[in-house]
Amino acid sequence: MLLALAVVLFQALASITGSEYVLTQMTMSGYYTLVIVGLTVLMGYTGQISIGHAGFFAIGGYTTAVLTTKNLLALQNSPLAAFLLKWGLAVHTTDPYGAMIAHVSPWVSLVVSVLITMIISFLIGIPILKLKGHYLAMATLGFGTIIYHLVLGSRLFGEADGISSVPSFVIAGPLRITGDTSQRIANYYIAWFIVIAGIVLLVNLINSRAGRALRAIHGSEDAAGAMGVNTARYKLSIFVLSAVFAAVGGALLTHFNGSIGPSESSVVKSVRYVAIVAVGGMANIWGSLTMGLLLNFLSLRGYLGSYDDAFFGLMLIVIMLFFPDGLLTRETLGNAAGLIKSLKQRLAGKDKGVRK
Amino acid sequence: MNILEVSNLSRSFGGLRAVDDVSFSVEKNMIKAVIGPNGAGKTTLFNLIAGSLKSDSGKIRFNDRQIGKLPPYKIASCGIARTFQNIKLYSHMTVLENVMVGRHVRSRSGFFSGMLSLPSTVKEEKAIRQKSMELLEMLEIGDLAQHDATSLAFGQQRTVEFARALAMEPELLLLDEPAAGLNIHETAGIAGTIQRIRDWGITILIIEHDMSLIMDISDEIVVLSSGRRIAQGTPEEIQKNDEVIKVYLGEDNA
Repeated sequence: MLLALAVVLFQALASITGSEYVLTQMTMSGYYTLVIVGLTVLMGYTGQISIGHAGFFAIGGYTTAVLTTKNLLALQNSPLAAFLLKWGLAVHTTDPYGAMIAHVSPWVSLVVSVLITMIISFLIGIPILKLKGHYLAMATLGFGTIIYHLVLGSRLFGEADGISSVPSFVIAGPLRITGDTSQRIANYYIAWFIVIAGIVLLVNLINSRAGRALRAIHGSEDAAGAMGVNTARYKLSIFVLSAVFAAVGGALLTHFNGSIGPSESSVVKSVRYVAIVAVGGMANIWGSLTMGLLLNFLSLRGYLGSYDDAFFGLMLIVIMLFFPDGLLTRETLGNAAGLIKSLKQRLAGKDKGVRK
Repeated sequence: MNILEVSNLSRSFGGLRAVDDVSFSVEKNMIKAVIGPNGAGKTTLFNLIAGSLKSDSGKIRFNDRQIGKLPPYKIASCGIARTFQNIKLYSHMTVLENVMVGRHVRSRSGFFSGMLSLPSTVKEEKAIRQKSMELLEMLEIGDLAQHDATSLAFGQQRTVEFARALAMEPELLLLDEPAAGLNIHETAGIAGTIQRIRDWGITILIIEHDMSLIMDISDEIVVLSSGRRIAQGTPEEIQKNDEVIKVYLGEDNA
């Protein structure tokens, strides 16, 4: 509720001050935040690290990009294209030159993206989730690297150029996910509605029986097994779920931007996601939300300049050195409060000393 | 009636025969103890029964079901609960939440019903919370419910482990050195708790170094030495057994 209110307030503020352009970055930041909250449940609550989630983001984005940029009218001979056209699973529109074209409905491509992500994360997850700690980190890193090079090296995915001219995502009636500036405010709300819905689902999960089992795995995998938790299955389920969150974020952002490039799947992006989860307090979904929003926004607005990636690397080092449990945790916030209090007392004490 | 039957169980680590052809059985509703000097294979035996280690040979029957090849989580859902020698509570979770994990095998809500917070899930969640709270109160640590579990004193953490295991409503409870690291006062408390748990109808298999505790509470004792069973009987019989005295006190005192 509070979050929904904050979302509305921000929009009002942006409109009043005449800086509605920031809503574009807020929208993009929202889709990245979807990846981050999913990863938070995997890393922070279940204790399974992944340095490959940009890979799942890219699988979601590229799947929908490939599917929705094929002209089905030119492929009418193929039974699949004919089937999609016949059952209304395609969208008819015109290309920039005014010719009639038809492409797969984004709803269909979104479902396909999610299914492909589920299958890939399931198959990858079975062997690698047997690993622990940095072995798991390295395996997920390997996965991310493979996706990056697949995307970069294959024609289907546009090689280094990526895929552009991805159509907008018509949700219903006039509601559509698009980067068109006339739709800016609506898109800001669409994105944050989805983020809030995602967070509600995850918070419910964390506080449920399944969520307790996940946190128990983090606390002690042996003891979780001894209490009857099928640890392998739970780890796999949350891995797949967090991959789906990343893929949905990737797919929707691709429709919003109208394009996707290989940098979205790079390991640097994965490291950035991990860094944001860490700085947000690891097992703190609100912390990751705040940090994900803030840092992605700053990065997208270009405040971090060309040192963008270096900034996230440095942040990760600082966090690991000084706040291994994350920055926005109850303890650090408590310590900060304590520090301010003791400073105040000291200042008050000094005053007294002067008076004497 | 025998609730647990271990027959000809063996397990080696490299050349070391940690558990060597061990057989014994546990009758329903008794307190049975496994004792032996350090390195006798007691904890290995426990890990074999609980499924965290697999045996090289031999059989484990629980309620006429072979459990020797099952993974730990399945053994738990058969009705065997355990505590750990080096306490393994879940960090970053409250005492109450730790105990609530113990209700896992007695509840069924999955991922999706949890995410959607379905009415049935909410109802089940309420029951889990209530039952867990009851257990904490029965073990007289109800006032600690909202504390971070791993921040408690050692003795209190042990009681939380008991509560968590009992939340499973097990038929058999495996206690791995429950008095280790406790003072005399706390040990007496644990002894009382163990007897009360037996009175609730739960069978107990216990490993312990504290001889006076074992002699006080157990109905039957199995003695292991170098992985082999060297004696079995009531506390009185074990105290008189020459072989046991030899193992514990050395050749000269026999």
